[in-house]
Amino acid sequence: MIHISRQNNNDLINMRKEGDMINLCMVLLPSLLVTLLSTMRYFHPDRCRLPWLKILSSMTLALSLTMPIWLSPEMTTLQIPLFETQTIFLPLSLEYNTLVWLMLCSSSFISLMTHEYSMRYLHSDQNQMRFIANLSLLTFSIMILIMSANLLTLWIAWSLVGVSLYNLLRHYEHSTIAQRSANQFLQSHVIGNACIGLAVIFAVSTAGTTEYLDVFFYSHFVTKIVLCLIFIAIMIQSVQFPFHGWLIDTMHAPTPISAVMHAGVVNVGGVLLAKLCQWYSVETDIQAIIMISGVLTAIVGQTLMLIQADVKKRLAYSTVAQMGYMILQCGLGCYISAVFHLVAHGLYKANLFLSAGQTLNQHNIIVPKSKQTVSDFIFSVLCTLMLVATGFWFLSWSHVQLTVITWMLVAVTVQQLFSSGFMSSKTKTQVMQQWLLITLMYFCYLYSMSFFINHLLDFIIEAPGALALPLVVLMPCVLLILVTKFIIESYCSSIGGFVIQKILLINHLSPVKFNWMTKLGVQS
Amino acid sequence: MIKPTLDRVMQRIPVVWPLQQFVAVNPLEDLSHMPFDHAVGEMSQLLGEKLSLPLQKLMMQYDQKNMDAGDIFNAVNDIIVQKNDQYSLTDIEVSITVDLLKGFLLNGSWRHQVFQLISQTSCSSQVDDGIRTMCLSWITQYVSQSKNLHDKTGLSSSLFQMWRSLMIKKNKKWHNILHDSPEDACEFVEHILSMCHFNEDQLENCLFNIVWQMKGWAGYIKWQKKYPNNPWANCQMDVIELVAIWLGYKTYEEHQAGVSTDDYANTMIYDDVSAHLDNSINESWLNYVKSITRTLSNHSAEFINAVSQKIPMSLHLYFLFWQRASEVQYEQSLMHNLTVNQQQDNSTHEKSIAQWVFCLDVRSEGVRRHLEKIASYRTYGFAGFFGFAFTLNQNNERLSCHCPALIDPEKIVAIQKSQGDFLKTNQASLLKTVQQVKSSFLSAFTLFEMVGLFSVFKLLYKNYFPMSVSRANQLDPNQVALTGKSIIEKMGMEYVVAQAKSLLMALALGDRYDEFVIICGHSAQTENNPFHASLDCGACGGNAGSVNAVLVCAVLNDQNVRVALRNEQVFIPDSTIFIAANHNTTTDAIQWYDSVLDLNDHQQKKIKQIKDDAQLASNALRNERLAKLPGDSNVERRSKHWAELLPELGLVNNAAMVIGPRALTVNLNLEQRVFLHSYEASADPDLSILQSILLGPLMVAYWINMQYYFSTVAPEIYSAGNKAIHNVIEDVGVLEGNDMDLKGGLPLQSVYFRETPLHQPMRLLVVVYAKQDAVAGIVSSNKKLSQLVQGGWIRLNVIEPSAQPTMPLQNNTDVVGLKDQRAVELA
Repeated sequence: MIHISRQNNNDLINMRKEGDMINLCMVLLPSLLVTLLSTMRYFHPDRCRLPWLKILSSMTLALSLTMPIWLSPEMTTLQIPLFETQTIFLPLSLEYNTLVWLMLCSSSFISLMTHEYSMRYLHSDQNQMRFIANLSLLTFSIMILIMSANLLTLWIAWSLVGVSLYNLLRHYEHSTIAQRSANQFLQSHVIGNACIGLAVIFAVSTAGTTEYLDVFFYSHFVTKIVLCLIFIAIMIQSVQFPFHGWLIDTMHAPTPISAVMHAGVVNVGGVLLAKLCQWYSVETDIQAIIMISGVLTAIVGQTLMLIQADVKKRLAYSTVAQMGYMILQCGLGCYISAVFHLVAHGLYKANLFLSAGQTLNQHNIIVPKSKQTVSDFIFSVLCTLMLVATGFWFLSWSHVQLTVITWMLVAVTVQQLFSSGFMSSKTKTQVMQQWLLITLMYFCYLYSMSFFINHLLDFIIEAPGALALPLVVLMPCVLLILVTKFIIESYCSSIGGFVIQKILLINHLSPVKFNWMTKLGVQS
Repeated sequence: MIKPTLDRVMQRIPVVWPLQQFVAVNPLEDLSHMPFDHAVGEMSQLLGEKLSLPLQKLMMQYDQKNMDAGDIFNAVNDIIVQKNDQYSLTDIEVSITVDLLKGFLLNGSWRHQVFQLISQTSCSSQVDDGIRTMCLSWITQYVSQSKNLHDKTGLSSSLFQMWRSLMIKKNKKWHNILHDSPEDACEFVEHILSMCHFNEDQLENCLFNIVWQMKGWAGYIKWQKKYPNNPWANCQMDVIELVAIWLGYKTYEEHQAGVSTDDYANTMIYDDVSAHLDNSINESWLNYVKSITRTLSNHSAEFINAVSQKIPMSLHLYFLFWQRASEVQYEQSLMHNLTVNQQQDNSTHEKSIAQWVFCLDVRSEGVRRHLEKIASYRTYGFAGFFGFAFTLNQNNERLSCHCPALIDPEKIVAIQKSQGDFLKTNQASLLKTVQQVKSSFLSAFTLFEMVGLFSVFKLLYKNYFPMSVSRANQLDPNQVALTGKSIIEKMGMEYVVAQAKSLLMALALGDRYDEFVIICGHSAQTENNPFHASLDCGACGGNAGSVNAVLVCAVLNDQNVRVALRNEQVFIPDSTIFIAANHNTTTDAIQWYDSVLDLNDHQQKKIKQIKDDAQLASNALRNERLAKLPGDSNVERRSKHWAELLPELGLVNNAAMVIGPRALTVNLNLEQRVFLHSYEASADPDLSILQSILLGPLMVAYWINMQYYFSTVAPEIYSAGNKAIHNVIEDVGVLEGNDMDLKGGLPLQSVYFRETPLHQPMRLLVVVYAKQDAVAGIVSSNKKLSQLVQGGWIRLNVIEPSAQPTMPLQNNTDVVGLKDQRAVELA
């Protein structure tokens, strides 16, 4: 279905103008219509019926799901020429392939769910329709972003995402706190946006176009600069440490927004990485930066997550950690598992956010936790090492990194159960049950992974340079994480632990003084 | 030296209960020794510009034609007559004053002028957002860690000590500030404040200013200090520690900026605006009188001016006029209806099909009305815990206190999972495993990939098929009934019999037991709602009343208990069966818990009939209720949908409480606004029952009423804020969005729909059907009660049982006559 390679580059360029414009744009139409209709309803409440909005918003998902059916298989890109001279060629271009299809389905599903949710949730809010309009606009822009096939389109979509999300975050415009958090988002977003803008300008001034293929084949230097700039934007959008602040402070917007942000907006970075994976995976030094950024974010996010008191912040930090993990996967070259992670995490997080009010109905008795001992720690390290070693044995098989990752995951999960399950006095059945659960989950996991592999095999780029690196880095990573975990969990409450937390918290604790944005001199 | 001042400050901080036990409280409870208007005035003055809020809401009612000039007249008249001891006006002077005041209150331009005066007054104190945020984040961190702290290490350093030991290491400046300061929080505060040379008033101002910035957590600490034995009270903090940390940051800032001590002290206190404001309101009142004297020809200008000077107008008096005016109309019509109803002989001597005992909750009024319409049922109202106070322990996993917050339950009822339920046991344990995996350091990463995709189905069915959602963790009250025998043993025969006796005595069933007595609790059904407890039975401590109903029935059906009751002169016929039921206030369905009973065919048939009638009643009530409920008209879906922010209206519009026999209120449509408690004066010769009603259920009703009152009137201060951005801290409470302060009170969505209030704020009108001197005796013998009545927190009216109708009642002007003749207002 996808034929992107050096050989058919010329064919692709020839095909550009033959694209069936209406077909590809069709999938964008419903969300744009919802935006228009709900804006209309906002100003004239009797004009448009609610069921229409519901039907239209479900149309987006229906169209996305059925795309492979109604879209002609040769159709991969669509170009709308904007500006063309002898040296400069600037079209808007959209593309379609399996990855795009998958991400369109997932984001339009999340969008539909949040639409449906907010129709009821915000019924007592007089600005409900404005909210729906912005939500649809956000969906629309995320979809363009997913389909974007050149830097210019990416830039436009990126800006649209920023505008609509900014509007959503300041939904309660009279509240200064909401205004402040929206501004904080805007500050971060402007930097990311500027990076992409720079990339566009740089590409146009050197290569004369913003088409990925043309730019990246123009020169190695240009490729490197552009990829770096894009990655900075990705770091901000995908809440990589130390750019995670804006996501944490978005709790002053209605809950459905959080669901969309954590399942849609932050995923955009991963999608972009996956779209550009063939160029990123060749640049091993950028790849290394990506990986380090991922590891750092995962550790910081997960640590901070464990010490949050409130549900939403815990979820937010968990997202930070998961995004770090996703970026780590990209850095290791496992773009497929990264995409899989994006989708699965997005769905799961959306569900958690939308049901964030549930927790309190459980009137739990506080049961003292058993203390963790050193032998616990040693035992779990041993188990992990053993299982990772088994993972190495599988290295001779195909999909090397994938196997490593999978085994690491299983190992860690098992270790978790060992340390918490076996050590405390649990009944045998419960331990058995936990094992059963884990095994079941693992099979489900493998099954769904293989589903992805079959469909996305085209994406695997075996890059020998990127292969050695993860193996060297992986083991220290596992150890590092385990040590951190041990320190946090055992000394969490003692003064020492508190110091560690405070060091990590500095960024969060004193937003005024440590806001790196202010240091950079960016003002709203 | 600082402690007593701080205690005085803490009086003005509303208590915040943890959400599981959402207990409606009067946010100004500790100020209830003052009159209502003074308390509100005091809070308003302290809060600067926000004080215009309640008044604005009240004036709005007049503009929207919810009250008219007659109401204002009546209100002013009432208050002036009542307070005449202070003013010592003659009758002519009273009538002149009332006319003048009415004009002053209603004249558009003068009203506007006063309103301007109030809204322009602003507190000079500035909330220091940076310091506030830091302090709050320390508190939140400490609360989240304190559980670990005690369980894991046994280390117990206080919040302040922890803060101090960490900040001292932070940098040199902090070290300079902290290294020679006292280690005890209280001494630290004294140390810092001693530099400011505050006098007593300024000190109080300053402390209030600081504590008010963290009022949610301060209120939570207040609750923990009040109920140290509560199972959820787990972290040890003191308000002085919050103050100390705040002052620590403030001092640091001062050092940073190099501010002199005087300037620094000045930033922490604020002007007392009250005297100034009272003066200017009084001035405008005198000006008004001057401006109007020319138009009044009957009396000389000097005379009128002299009269007007006898009334010192102040903010709280002005407020009280408006508040009273909004209540007059309802009070008159209710009293009128009740007295008219009393004259008719409503008591039916024929045997009814069954007797129903409901909770006194306002929502029960609707069911009772519709049931009585359908067939000859007799209904009674009692506090929803039916006198049985206990802590329910479910499978050693959950605790809940099934009694009003006033009572500290000693008895524990433990129920275990039925052994055979393999699936349920495993489901719970599976969920636990998932939770464990999710919340630990590394496995969370894998978990998301493993189970993430299944969320598609969850999202789909929660959004589109909410009706099919089954709640695995819901308690089946039948489990309580199944363990009935052991409950009696555990609670002790003596306790059980004593409680059963007092229940039956209060209901005054005497020898009129029907074949079936239905004990009907109530509970709400909501999904994804942190404020679920606020819709459940308040008399059961924010839990489902069904459990209490089932337990009471199990006790009363027990043969041994009946024998014991017979020895206590309470005779229940052998043919009488007690059946437990539950009124689901969200869907208005009535659930039955009769499966544990042994019934013959004849009884089965009769019960079938009762159930059908109940079905009809709940359908009728549902239709009535839906007319007022904005949004989805499918109550079943409402109760189960996860996005529903207003599952039901709850106790919205509660306005009155009637303590008396049903005959007094029967056939009246009280619109689910009235708490109904059964009381039969003839069965209560020593007044002990009346006393317990006035001190127990009345207090619960008054708290609920005040909670709704303040949440509606001043939502920015006393409501829990917007539900759409609520952020839950487990076992503690909710935060609103990014703000890290704890929120107390009712959520905004419960009392407002868009901009319009759902609740009409009124003080509770209590009508007691008993001898006047009996009520007066009880009220005057109890300090708390007399404070409430005299201070106008509740309005207590008495209808004398024996009084015969002497004159027809007119609609509104004859309210004074009504009082003289038939009812005596004690307030």
